[in-house]
Amino acid sequence: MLPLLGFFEDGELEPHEMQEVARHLAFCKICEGMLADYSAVGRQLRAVAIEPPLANFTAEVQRRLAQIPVPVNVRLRHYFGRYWEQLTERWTPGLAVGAAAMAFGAWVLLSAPYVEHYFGMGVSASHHPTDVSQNQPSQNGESETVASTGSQQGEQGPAENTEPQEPETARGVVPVEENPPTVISKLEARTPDVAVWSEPETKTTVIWMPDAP
Amino acid sequence: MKSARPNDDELELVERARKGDRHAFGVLVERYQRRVVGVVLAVVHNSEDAVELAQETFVRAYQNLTKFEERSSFSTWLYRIAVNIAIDWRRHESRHVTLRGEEAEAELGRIPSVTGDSFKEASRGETAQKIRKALDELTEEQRTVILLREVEGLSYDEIAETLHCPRGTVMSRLFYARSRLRELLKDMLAA
Repeated sequence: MLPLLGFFEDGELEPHEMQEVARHLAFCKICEGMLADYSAVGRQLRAVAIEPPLANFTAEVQRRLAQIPVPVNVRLRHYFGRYWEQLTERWTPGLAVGAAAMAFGAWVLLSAPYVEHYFGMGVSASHHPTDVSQNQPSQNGESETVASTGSQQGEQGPAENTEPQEPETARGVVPVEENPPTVISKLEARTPDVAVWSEPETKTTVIWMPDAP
Repeated sequence: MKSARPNDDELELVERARKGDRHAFGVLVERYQRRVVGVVLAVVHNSEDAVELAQETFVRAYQNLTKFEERSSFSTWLYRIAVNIAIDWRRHESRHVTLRGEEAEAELGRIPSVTGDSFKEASRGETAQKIRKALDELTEEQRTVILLREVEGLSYDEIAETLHCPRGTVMSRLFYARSRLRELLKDMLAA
């Protein structure tokens, strides 16, 4: 009970604790005496504490504030008052939406080359004579990879209509799935006779070139 | 921790002060100057320094009004600034300077005691002398807490928020401070 007496004196206990201490004090003379001592200590402290000199306190604070340069935003608010409020409160959502729209537009513009690179290859293959050939597993099992040079592809038209071709020499042999789009890009190989076959899904790249004459 | 929220009138004054209205801030200074000086006095124990530091507290508060988040009351926010300034000042003052001879003696006469002159007016009386001595016996933390509670009348939550410590710590320091003061002032209390 002893530790609670000071808190009881300050009225800082929970209601049920206040009641409990009050009930205890009704019959415990020791705690009652101690509580009286605590109260006396508080009274003595208050009695001997002096009043600090506060004359001109506010004026001195104001004088010191006057020496502080007013920030630009505070000065603007002071001069433009309610117009500033309207600008910051009414127009803020609109400005935020506008900024978001501009950011999205910038993202679209900046990401366009990547979009074309990753998603536009199949389209360009249909009219690019050097790009695409469809692979089918060969019947004789000699080679599972079919690739063609640019001249061959150009004669045969779009990739989706080409028949599987058996290259005379195919140096790379990789497992080929049924229908994954095959990409042959001469652009990747720097030589006209060399074709590079890339399969994005399996991340496989095959370099194909004709036998030496 | 429970904390009092600022009332509307106070918030309006703060908002006006934020917009650069020094008169509105002056109203807040008038309202809290006594308490802020008291809080500083509980830490530095010297009324002249306390007034000076309390003025610095209000200047600092004015400059940082945008940082007042209205989660606690304006007064508690002020007390916290006041205590930080007072503790910094005390730390600065307590740095040791090596002086010798007459210079040392001259300086010695200017250094206030731990409790300083916050009880100077009453120190002529025997009672005040005893209380001053008893306060010297407490730790700095206990002394600050008991003065904030008994002299300034801050609630436990206000003290906890002002001193950046848990409410339980405030209660513990208060208990030990009271017990020690009761023991030291036993004769006086009995009389």
